[in-house]
Amino acid sequence: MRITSQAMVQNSVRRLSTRLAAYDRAQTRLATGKHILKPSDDPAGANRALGLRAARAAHVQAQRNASDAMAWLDVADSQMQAAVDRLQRARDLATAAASHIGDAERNAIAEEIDTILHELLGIANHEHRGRPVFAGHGDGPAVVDDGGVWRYAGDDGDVVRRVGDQDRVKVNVTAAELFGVDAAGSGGDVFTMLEEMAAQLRTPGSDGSVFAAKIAEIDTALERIVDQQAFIGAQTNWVESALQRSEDTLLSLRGELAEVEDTEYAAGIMELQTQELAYTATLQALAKALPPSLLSFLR
Amino acid sequence: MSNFASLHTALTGLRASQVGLDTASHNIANANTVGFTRQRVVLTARPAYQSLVGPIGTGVQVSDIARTRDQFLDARVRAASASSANAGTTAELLGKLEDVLAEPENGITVELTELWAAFEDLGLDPSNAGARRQVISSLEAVANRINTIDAGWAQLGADTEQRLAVAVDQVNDLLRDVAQLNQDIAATLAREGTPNDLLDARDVAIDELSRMLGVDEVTVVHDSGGKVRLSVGGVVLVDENSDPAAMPKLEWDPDGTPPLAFDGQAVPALGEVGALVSFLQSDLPTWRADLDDFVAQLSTTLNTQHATGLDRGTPPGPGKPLLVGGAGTLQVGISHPDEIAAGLTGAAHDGGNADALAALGSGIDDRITALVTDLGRQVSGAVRLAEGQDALAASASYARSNQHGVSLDEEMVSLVQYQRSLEAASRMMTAIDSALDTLINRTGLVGR
Repeated sequence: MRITSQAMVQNSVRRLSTRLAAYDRAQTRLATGKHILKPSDDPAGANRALGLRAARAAHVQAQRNASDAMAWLDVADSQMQAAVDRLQRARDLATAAASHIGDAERNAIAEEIDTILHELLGIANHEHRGRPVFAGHGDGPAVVDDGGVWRYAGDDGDVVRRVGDQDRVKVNVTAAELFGVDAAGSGGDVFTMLEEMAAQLRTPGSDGSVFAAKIAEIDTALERIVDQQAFIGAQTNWVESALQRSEDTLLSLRGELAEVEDTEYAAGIMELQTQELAYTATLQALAKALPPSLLSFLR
Repeated sequence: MSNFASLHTALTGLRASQVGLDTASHNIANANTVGFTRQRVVLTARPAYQSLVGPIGTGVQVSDIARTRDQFLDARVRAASASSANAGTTAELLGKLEDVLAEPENGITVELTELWAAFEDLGLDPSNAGARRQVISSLEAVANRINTIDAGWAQLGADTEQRLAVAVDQVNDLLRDVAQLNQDIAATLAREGTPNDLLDARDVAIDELSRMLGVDEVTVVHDSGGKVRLSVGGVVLVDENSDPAAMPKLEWDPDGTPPLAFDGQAVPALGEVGALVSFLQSDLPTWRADLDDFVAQLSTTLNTQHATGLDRGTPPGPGKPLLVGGAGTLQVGISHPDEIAAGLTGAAHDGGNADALAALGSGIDDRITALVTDLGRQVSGAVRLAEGQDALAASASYARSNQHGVSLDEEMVSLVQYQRSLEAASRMMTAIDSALDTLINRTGLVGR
């Protein structure tokens, strides 16, 4: 077959630029640390990578949500614990009042019951970062004294936090659920009960059996709060385990993303060395592209 | 038979050798000329003189300085270069489309991720002014990115239009050149000349036309003095009657019917022009429509969900549209943090709508991921096709170059061959000269 020098040179130049392109690609991959520089480098990989990135962002956000949820739950728990302590004290006072003591002592107890009522009111209307904790989605105090009637002034909105893929956790309780107040002010709540108790204590000559009845009412109120404490405890466990799962998932997502997107450095360096060697070999071959012709041998 | 006949025979040998040397040196000088076809001296023996004792030859004549061109190799190269130019240009343009998207590091997906995070943060604390402002600025970032991409694609379209205009001008110049060369070649042949260099020039022009337009029919018209007719897809561009001064032109009008026309007829162009036309008429509009579609989906989904919530106006009203406009004019529809409808019930700390807006993220993310990876797949396919076509074109060109080009070794051998025959012919003349000298000056000198 006839071979011309022009054809040989053209072919060699073409091979050289192919080699150089491969060398450049290996170098860029190593320098940027990315295996996929644009989606067309590996469309299927890019698809996976974009999905993984979105999943990673969702989990990072879930962790942020979870730490906010823990703050809510912790605040609720500590306030409820304080309420339980105060109500226990009220119970002890009611027990004391039920036994035969004089009016002077009863008045002293009445003063303390008033204080306990105000403390519980403070707990009901507690705010965390400028927002009421037990008012649902409402603004302003959860429990108000509306002309002598205790009313619940918040709403029944659930504060929900997304702490994982499918985990939407309710992290609040309302004052209505805790203290038995309702929006209509129909009584039967802790504040009304304590007010009645103080009034009865101040009434001279009231019978000890009245206070025995009050003890039962205080027990009911305590049970109400303890139930909500159990609820918050369960939610806390849920958030903690979701947080742990999120951490684990994030770790594995990061690994998967690196596998798809990033250059594996050992392989990358080997590839660069190989391409360099191949390029040098092609250059040497090009230098000899035109073999000695007849010209060298004729006079 | 004259004694001087041998001298003339040797002279013919001398002349033939000189022509051979001239041709070899012309070939060597043009060894690197693009499109040059090597020329060969064709020698034939002159008619013999029939004498009583047998035929006596009268020497050699150069019957032709032939330029051998293999039409099949030419056709193969032209077809391959048209496909290669087409695939290469398409891959290049689609690659530029993809570059504008700047995924996955700096594209729309990054801004959308920020937006969903902003909505979720708003859900955590709906009355927080900072969280509301963050939502607005995230929306602005998304709108800006989309507008930038649309503008980039529009600019790419404009640049491609310009490139196509330049290419069309080039094609028209080449067509005119071919028509002119047709006439020159016919004129030379009419003068009994051999228009080898003109033929080479015409072949180079046709090669370039093939690459640019995908000329698929090149026929030498019978009895026209070597004129060639070019057509693409059945549309005749140049024929034996084309007048270079008054030829119809290839025209491009994006809104015309047909858009690419020659003398009113639609030209099914291949080659580079074909790729540019196809990009402008189908690829670019398709992708821009896809982007518009995505923007419409994004806007509608967000706006509908936003409208189900209540903002913090006095009195609170349903949420206004968050995003308005198409891909090139996208803007945020609200400016004040209170206009964000974070809640569904109007309660101060209800973040339900913000959560719902954030939950729209996965559907929107899927849609944009599909767009990005579809484009990536198209580009990757085009690049692979271009590489394959490129290899085919290179191999066809290699084969043709080997067949038509100058081999320096061959020319060296010719040089040696003609040099020796020149020496031999000269020696022949000297021999005859001395024989005649003896005959004329030294025979019949009896006694003198």
